[in-house]
Amino acid sequence: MSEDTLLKVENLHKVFPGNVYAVNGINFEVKNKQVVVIIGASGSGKSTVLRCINRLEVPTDGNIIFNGKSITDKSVDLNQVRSEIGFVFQSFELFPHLTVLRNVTLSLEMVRKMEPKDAEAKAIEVLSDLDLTDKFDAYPGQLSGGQKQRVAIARALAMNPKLMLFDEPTSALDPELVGYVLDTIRMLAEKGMTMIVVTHQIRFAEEVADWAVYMTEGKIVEQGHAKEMLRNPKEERTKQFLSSTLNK
Amino acid sequence: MKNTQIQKGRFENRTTFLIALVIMVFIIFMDIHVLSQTTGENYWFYSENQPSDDFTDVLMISPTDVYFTGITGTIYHSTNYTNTFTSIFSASSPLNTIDGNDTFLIAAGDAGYVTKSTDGETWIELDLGQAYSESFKDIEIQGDNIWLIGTNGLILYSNNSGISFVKQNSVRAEQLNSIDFMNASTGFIVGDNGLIMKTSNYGSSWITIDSKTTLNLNSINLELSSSPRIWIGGDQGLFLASYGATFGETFLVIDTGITENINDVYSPIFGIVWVVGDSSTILGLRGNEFKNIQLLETNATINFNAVYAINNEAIAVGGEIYFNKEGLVPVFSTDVDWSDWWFFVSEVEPLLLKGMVAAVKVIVVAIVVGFMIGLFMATLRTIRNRPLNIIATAYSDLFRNTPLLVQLFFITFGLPELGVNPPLFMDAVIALSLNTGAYQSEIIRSGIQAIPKGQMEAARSLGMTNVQAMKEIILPQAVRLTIPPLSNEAVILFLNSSLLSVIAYEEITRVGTIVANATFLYSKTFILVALTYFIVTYSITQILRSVERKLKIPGLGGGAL
Repeated sequence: MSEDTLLKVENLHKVFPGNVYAVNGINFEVKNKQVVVIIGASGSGKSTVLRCINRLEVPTDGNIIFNGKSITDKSVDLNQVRSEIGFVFQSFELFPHLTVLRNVTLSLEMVRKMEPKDAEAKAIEVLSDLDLTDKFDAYPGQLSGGQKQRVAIARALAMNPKLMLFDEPTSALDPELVGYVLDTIRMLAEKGMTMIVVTHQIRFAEEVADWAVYMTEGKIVEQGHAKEMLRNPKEERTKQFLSSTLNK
Repeated sequence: MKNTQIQKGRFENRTTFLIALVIMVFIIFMDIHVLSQTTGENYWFYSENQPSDDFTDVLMISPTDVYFTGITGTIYHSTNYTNTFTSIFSASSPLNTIDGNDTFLIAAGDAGYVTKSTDGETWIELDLGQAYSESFKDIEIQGDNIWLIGTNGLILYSNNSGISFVKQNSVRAEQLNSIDFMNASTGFIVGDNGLIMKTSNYGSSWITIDSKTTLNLNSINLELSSSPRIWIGGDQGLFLASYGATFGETFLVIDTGITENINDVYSPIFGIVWVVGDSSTILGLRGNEFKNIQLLETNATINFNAVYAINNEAIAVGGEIYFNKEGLVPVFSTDVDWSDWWFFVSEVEPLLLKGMVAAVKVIVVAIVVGFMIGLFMATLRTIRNRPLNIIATAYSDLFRNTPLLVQLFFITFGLPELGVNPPLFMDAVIALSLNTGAYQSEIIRSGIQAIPKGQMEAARSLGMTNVQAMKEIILPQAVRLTIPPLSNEAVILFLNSSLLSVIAYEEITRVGTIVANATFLYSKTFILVALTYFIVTYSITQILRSVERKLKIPGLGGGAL
């Protein structure tokens, strides 16, 4: 494993109760400052891979090495690991009873143990970067979908994660709002944030990603440099998937 | 068009209107002066401006016509609820006792001294036929018949309002302490060494009754009703009662829980007995249940020698004078004309108000304790720990699948068998808390489970611990969701508090039953009872509704997430 590697997934398996084989032996790497996209049809196990990386799901088998340490190990401090990996959900999962500002400061105070004043300063900085200056005191229920997702991104970013995981961040958005969120991810990529993005936005993936992974039935069919692979896939199944997705 | 607007406006103000209505009914229904008087547990008030003396006896003709005797031989008079006192007469020897009726008063004391007054101002020493060295301890007046009793078994009798006296034969030579008659011919005397005597012929002959004690008996009082009762107080907290089929023959020992000497007992009306004694002892014994004994402590550390009461007002005297405006809910008087509705309401509402306060006390404690139990048990049920899940489920199933009444009986009557005997209030609180705790745990559990799984995942993905996520993210949302069902539970619990009436806890229904049984006005009584419940439950609903509005999250409709 090269020094530049931030995350390495080795032979990852996940079996859900009832013998549902969601992930069947996955291997890939994420280097520092790299943007990796995972594409594939619904039910292909993309999200499960992401959820295994920050241990929302416990892997059945395999090894995940993050920042030089195995996080499948039993002795690992999960809360510590999770605080270094930002996770953005398809359904936002903002805390509806807290204001936008409090959504961001809460984990800074509870997990990072920051003083309320410092946490607030940090939250204001991150929210301002994402163009949410006028929404500090709003509640999530008062925001549009695009704004919600950007608050969710800000909430994860404020923790200064080493890695950001995006689980279909635009799937729950109205088409006209998708652009705002993609712009935000693009901005993060330009700033050099290491990211794994599960997405159906192939054009966006081509443009932003360094590395692309195509999955189906819990297995990787093809992976390679994003621009090359997404324009000229080698595997027949990848070609089929890409053409059907792009023609939609 | 105009009509619709008015109707719409009305609809929007409906809640405000109803709240105003409830407050108005409340004010009309509940006398303000009663509210101001029932704020404390201890209703005994030190009478300001009292003379300094050791008071030996008190006689209430009415609360505005009260006489006191002192060890200094002085007779005092108060005409204003013991606010001020006038010294009206000074005898040549210490006075021990005073009694009287509409036409004359008699006071008696040491060295055979007896004095009489027909106007309360001029007092004339009575000629007893001969000089006595004995001290008189008590006086009984029945029409023109007067008895004086005292040391050495002395009994003097007059059948002509005190013009002349004859000596009656006591059976024993003990000091006689107290005398009370049912009517002119039949009465009782108690004295030292457990002496109880009875006469049925104006005292011509006295026979002793076995008291099964050798302690000094200091006071006797007859509670006259269709089923009369006798109360006797003695040394070391001894308290005897006789009633029913063996009235006047068998005396039962009633456990008062005290060991101080009892110096006087007095029953103003059916269902209440006041008991006073040494070391500031004042007990109020109420109703048919001897369990309902209340110890009302004064701030003073004095011995009380005598107590007298008329209806709700009572006066206790000894080293100091204390006045009680309304210490206990009396058992209702039966010989009153209740046909006037407003008179009926004015008599019943203070009682219902007390019942309401008693019920609200229990319910407030039970709901708070039940909420804590519910929160705790709901958490135990939702965390991943099998044994704890089972314990919490078993608790909830047990209390939700058995009747509250049975739980109440078990705690009130079952626990004492197991050696635990909490006071009645605690019985009520324990039963209701455990019961509502089970229901509240179900409500809160469903609230927790209604929060999307993603909320917990989001919190954990940020590095929060399970406890932090529960406390900061899940419970605050779950509690908001559960306010409507919890307020419903509070209302049901309050209505269920009527079950406490069967364990004789004096709440609204219990008061209603007592009133109805005494007045036979069942529909009127229970309309008032129902109205009392409505006022409380309606207020609970409105308060919780406003709490719900206050806690509402902007942009989040209808409690859904």
